[in-house]
This record gives sequence, C-alpha cells and structure tokens, in this order.
Amino acid sequence: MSSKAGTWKFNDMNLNPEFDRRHILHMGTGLAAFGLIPRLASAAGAPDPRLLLVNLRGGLDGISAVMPVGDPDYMRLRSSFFSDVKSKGMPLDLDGFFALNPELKTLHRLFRKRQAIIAHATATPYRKRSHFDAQEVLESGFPAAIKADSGWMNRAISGLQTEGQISHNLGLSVGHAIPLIMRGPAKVLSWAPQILPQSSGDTIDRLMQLYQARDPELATALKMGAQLDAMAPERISRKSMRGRGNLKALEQVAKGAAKLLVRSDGARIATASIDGWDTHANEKPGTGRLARLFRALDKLVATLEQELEPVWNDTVVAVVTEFGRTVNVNGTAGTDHGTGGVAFLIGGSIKGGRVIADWPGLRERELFEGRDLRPTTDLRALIKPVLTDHLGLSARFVENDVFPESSSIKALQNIILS
Amino acid sequence: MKQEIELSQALAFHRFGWGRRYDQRALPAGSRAQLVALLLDDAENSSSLSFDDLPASRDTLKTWFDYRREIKAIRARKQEAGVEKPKSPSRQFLLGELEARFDADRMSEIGFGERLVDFWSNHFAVSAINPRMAVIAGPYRREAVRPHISGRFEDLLLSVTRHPAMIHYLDNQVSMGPNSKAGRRRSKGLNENLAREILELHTVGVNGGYTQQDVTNFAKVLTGWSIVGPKARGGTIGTFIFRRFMHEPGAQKIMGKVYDQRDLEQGISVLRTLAHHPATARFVSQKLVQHFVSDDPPKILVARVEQTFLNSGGDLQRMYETLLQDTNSWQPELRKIRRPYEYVVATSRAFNVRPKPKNLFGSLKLMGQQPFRPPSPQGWPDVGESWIAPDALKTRLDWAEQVARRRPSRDVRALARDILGPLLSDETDLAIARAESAKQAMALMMLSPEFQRR
Repeated sequence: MSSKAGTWKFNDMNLNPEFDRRHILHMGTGLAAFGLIPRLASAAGAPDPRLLLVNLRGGLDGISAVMPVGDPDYMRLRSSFFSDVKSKGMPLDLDGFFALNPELKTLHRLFRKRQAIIAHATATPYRKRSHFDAQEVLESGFPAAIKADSGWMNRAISGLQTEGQISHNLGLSVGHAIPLIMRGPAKVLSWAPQILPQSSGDTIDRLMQLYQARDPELATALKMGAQLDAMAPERISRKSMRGRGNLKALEQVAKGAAKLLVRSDGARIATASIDGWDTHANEKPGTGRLARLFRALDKLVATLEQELEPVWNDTVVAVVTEFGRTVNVNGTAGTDHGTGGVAFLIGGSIKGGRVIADWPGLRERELFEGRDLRPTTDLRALIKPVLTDHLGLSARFVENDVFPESSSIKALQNIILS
Repeated sequence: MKQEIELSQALAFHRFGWGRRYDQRALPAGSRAQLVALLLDDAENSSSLSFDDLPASRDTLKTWFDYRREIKAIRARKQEAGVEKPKSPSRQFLLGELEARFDADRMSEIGFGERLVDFWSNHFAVSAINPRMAVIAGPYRREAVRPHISGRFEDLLLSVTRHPAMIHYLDNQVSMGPNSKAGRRRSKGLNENLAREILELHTVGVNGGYTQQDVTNFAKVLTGWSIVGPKARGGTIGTFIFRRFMHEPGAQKIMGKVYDQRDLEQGISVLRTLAHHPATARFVSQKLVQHFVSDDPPKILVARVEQTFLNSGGDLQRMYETLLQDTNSWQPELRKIRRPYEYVVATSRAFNVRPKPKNLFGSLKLMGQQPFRPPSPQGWPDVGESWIAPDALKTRLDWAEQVARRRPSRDVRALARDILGPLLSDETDLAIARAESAKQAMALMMLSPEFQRR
C-alpha cells in the first residue's frame, strides 16, 4: 500500500479542502472501537438484515427511468424520447408528477405496494464527469476521488463484525473481480455463475498449504473460494447460460446471489453490477437500447423479490449509478455524462411508496452548469438510514468510518420500517 | 556470475514475455545488456508481424454490412419462415482473430513484443460490445496498434484514433458540429465521448489539467472524423474518412492553446500536441511501468521513463530500453498477477497444449477476461486486486485440473525446473514432488504463486 496524498478541487458542497489520503490510513485502527448496537443475531425473531447494492455502471439516464412528466420543460427537451416511450407503452404513474418508464413494471408494482422509494435529482458529491473518478467516489464513500483503496460497503462490514458474533463470510461480491466498494480490510466472498466441473478437495488442501507458506494474498482468496463451493448454488448448465444474453445471465446472477443471502450461514451484504448504461448514442428509452436495459433491470428486481421471499421483510436492495446524464438530447440521439440522477431503495424493510425529490426544474438557469439536472439530495443521505436503521450500525460509526467527512449530510427520515 | 544471468534469463521470459516454452533452453545472451538487446529486437519483430490470411477491417465491415442488408431484405419480404437466414459473421471473425493472436503469442520466442501489442491495445482499448464492433476489434489490434509499438507514441495515437474501431466504439462517426453544414440543419450534433476518452484515458489522464470546456472544444475539433458506411459515400466501405460538412468550423482552444487549422489538420494538430504533453509522458510512463514491474510502480523508474519520453519525443523503443536497463525491473520477487489471458498463454507454452479457439474463448470468459471485450474504454484493469478474487482463483484451478486431466505431463518436477528455473521455490518444488498423481502435480504447478505471478 502506498501513501500518496491525493489532491482534489474544492467544490460547492463545502468540504474540507485538506482532506487527503493520509487521513484515511489512520482510520483503520479505530474500526474495532465502533460498531453496531450489540445484537444477538442467533436469537429467534431477531432481525437479520440483508443489503444488496446493484451498481449500474456507465451513468443511468435518470430522466428516462423516472420521467418528470409534470414538468413542461421535460416535454420540450425530451420530446423525441417521450414519443419513443409512448410508442411502446404508457408511462407508469408514480405521483402525478413523475412516471416510470413502462419497462419498469416490477418497480412500479413494488412502489404501489409501498416497498420502494425512488429518489430523483440525487448524486454523490462528485461534480466532474469522468466515469473512473465518479465510480471511485460512489464506491469509496469519500467525498472526492483520491485513489482510495477501500470501499464503504467493506468498511460497513468491518463495523458489523464484532468479536465472534457474526460469521466472517458476511460480504459477497457477485462477479469475477471484487470492485472497490467491497475492497478493504474485511474479507469478502466473490461468486459468479460457473459451468466448469469442480476441482478436487485434496488438491485445494495442498494448494492451500503452498499458498500459506508463500503467498498470503492468494491464500486468503483460495480459502474463501473453497468455502464458497460448499455453499454455492447448483451448477448452471451450459444450455441455460446460452440463453437470451443479458436477461438470462442476470436471472442466474439474481438467483445465485439470493440463495447465498437467504442461507442462515450465508452472506448478508452483497453487491452486483450491470454494465452498459453509458448511452451516448441512440438511447431509445422506449424501443431500443435503454428499454432493453430497463427490461433486464426489472427482471433482476423481480427475480430478487421472488428468490429472497423468505427474508424479503428484512431486505433492502439499493440501485445506484455513478452520475445522471445531460438533460438535453445530444446530436447522436443520446445523452452525455451529467450529474443529478436517480436511485432506488427496494425491499420489505423499506417504508416505500413515495418519490424523494427536491425538484430543481429543467429551465436552463436551473440546470447545473447549464446542462445537467442539478442534484438536490446527496446520495449518502439516502444510504445512511439503511446503514443505521436497517443494518444497525451506529450513526457515529457511519459518519466517521463509512462515509468520512459527511457530518453535514443529514440522514433522510422515514426510510426504513421500524 | 552464472546464477545472476540464469535469474535474468528466467525473468526475461517470465516478466517481459509469456513464460518459457517447454522446449526452450537458454537464450543466446551472456549478460543483462545482451538480454535487453534481445528483448528490444523482439519488440521490433512483433511490430512487423503480418497476418496475411486474416481479413482487413474494411473487408470484415463490408461483410457485416452485406449481412445486415440481407437480413433486412428477408424481413422486408416477410419471408422469415422457411428461408435460410444467413449466419452472422461476427463470431467467426472473433474466433479467427483469437486463434491467430493466441498462436502468435504461444509460438513467439520470448513474447516481449506481443506483450507490448497487448499492453497498447489495452491502453487504447476498444471493445466488442456489439456484433459490428466484434468484427473490427480484432483487426484493430493488427492494423492500428501493432505496426507502431516500436515507433513513436504520436504515430500510435494518430493511428488508433483514426481507425474505424475507435471512431465507432466512441460514437464519433455521427458527431457533428453545431455550426457545420450538417449541424445547422439540426439543432445539435455534438458527441463528447471520443474527445473525453482521448484526454482522460489515452494521453494526459484525468488529472492532466483539462476542463469540461476543453472536452467540448476537442469534441468540436473531432467532428467530421468518421467512417465510410455501407452506401460507400466518398470512399471505400469501412475506412476512415473526414467529412467536412460535419466539421465544426473555426478555431478552438484546448488546454490553453488555440488551434486555428482547418478540417482534418486541426484534429491532427491537437493530437500531436497531446502526444508530447508532459502530463502524457507521466501518465503513459506510469502505466507502462505498472504493467511490467509492479501494481505500485517505483516512482524513480517512472520518472526515468518519463524523462526518456520527453527527451526523445515519445520514442517507444527508447522508453522500453530505459525500463529494461533499470535494476528495479529485474527484482526476483514476482509481484504482478498474471491476468487470465497471460495465464492461459503461459500454460499453453509450458505444457504444449493448444485449446480450440471456441473453448479458449469460453474459458477466458469464465475467468473474467472475455477476449476483445474489456468492460470499458479503460480496458482491462492492471492491478492484482481486480483479479485475485475467490471466485476467479477457483475458476483458474478448475481450468487447470481440466487441462491436466486431458494432457497429463510425465515429469512435472523436471518441467517446473525447466520452465521456472531459479524462480521455482522450494515449497512449490516439494508440493509437486509430493503430489499424488501427475494430474495433481500439473495443477499445483499451474496454480503455484510462481506461475500465477510474474
């Protein structure tokens, strides 16, 4: 680990300009001192919360997902997109002002059932437009891109691991590599649908011995990989993998992740991501590319609801993205990198049925830098109550360790059912 | 003295190449300086390697357009039932490219040049995100990247930016200036994607000191950089073309410099300036050292390579020379993790196995590195923590056991000594010796830290 101090530019959210990486390295020692309000996870009837964060990589066009149909400027600026949507189906009304893209049927149903909250004009504190840096800020939990080496979910997991109380296989990263959000001191599992036959236990043992003597990093990874095999969902046949591309694969991902989250000895904090949201050209939210992505996302949510049924009342699925997109349609029938966007909180633990949006308007003077939806809610304000009220972390821990330098960001109220 | 050169030879193969082949012994080099010369020659040879039996991107694109036209025609005639639909050419082209590339890699002498083609193709990444990209992602490496790996960075940058694969991947072929002839007929036309990624990922880097306005202005400069489509307007189908009627007229200011050239020259001038910018020297040198030496590259080595870049005007061979001459590059600790493709090539060389392209494709996909399909314009990540994950490692082990099952080696212990030489640890040697079967011994060797790292 290096200790290069990062630099970042002072922005309009009034953050500490001396904030740098050295500060973060010192934090690690304090983790064990904080932690959750003690709870006996094994006691019957005690809450056993699950959190799954779905990261939509590329920058989801929030205004196409949750259309501000009540805003006359929306109709003016996005008429081509709106026509495209209408040609395929009717927008799904939320509260008279906002309506969902018709592909997001499950999300709409859950909203009606008061199990989904939709946030609009929300963003992380990041204000530039680089995917790389925006994703870092989204995942690291720090207010700026400083080449962090840990993510906020990993630090949250560390907070949940008090002495001997919780199994150490708490964190789960779905996918072939562990993204920043799940990197850090806490060890997490990684899992992805497999179709190779299993390797023998004896070879693993011998390899484990070798790694323990020569390569601790590989040893840790192998240990978790082997444990995972013991718990893992059944082998997925080659045939089902060939399915309709994204849709089928996502279904398998949802099923697999859900299985691991439902188990009493399984994971509790998980993350998965869906790529492809960077719609610079031919966005077509009604009949084309974005519509297909919405369909896949909705299928993922539906499958999760179904597979997590035994623990749905204890579950929060958070859907986030690194930034929204330009309000105007660009010259290639798409949108470019923007700022304010949407986020969803879904699950039986959510006090849902409303749209959280301090709507800034879409007139040019109301836009951020004349081009993007101005963010009026910090994403962390939405996540904080999930960490405290749903997972049981102390507010102090969240403020000091999970989202450092966020004391000015007040947690939203009425997010989690008590 | 002999021990030192043995170690250097092992590292030459292992760190700067694809790993020793089962039939390779000592390189004709008695000193480190001679090794460096061999490696630099290797790079030059790779840059002139041609693949005569593979189709050019203009041909694959034409085939793709023809296929699309046929499909549309069949649909239009509503003749879907009973008519034999033509097969999409994408997968066949992809597998052909993979096969050629894999063979070049596994049969290369050391592989330094091929590693460089891989490195630069990843730095200037394009991705087979759809069937059209799939037919040109492979030719792109051969046509745009390979010929320039031993030349100047400027030429490499100009080459990749003008290749249809890059133009198409980053949506530039229809980007038009608002005040251009075409743009004035519509209200907007600009697409920022290519301009942003050139600045952020290819040249000066995200901290290079550019602003949003610079991105927009650069996007204007790049309007008109396009591809000849299926109607063959203005040139050969599937080739680069500059379309003046889409180009935003007028001077543009980018990173403090005003560019008042006209048409194509304007963009070329910007690219030339970026190619020699100090931030580019730093960013590119950092990536190069990080790729070969360590996830956390030694600052002093990066600084030296950066200095060579600046002094030589971006002469890549000179940069490689600086990298190779530095003692930091020859430390015996193997710190970098082999990415899935590197692992598979190294296995192929060590055990003389040649997976079929279709199986190769599937295995790499499972290991998280689907050929020609990096997840974003950033390319495949180059740090261990992105690849060392429980699931990924388990997959590598499962694959190793599959390979071992099909082609068990006879004397794995001797093979390990030949392939790894002084890099072989006592612990791995012992583990191999104590294995209960040749199959298990092979799997253990393949998954050993020395084989997983370089």
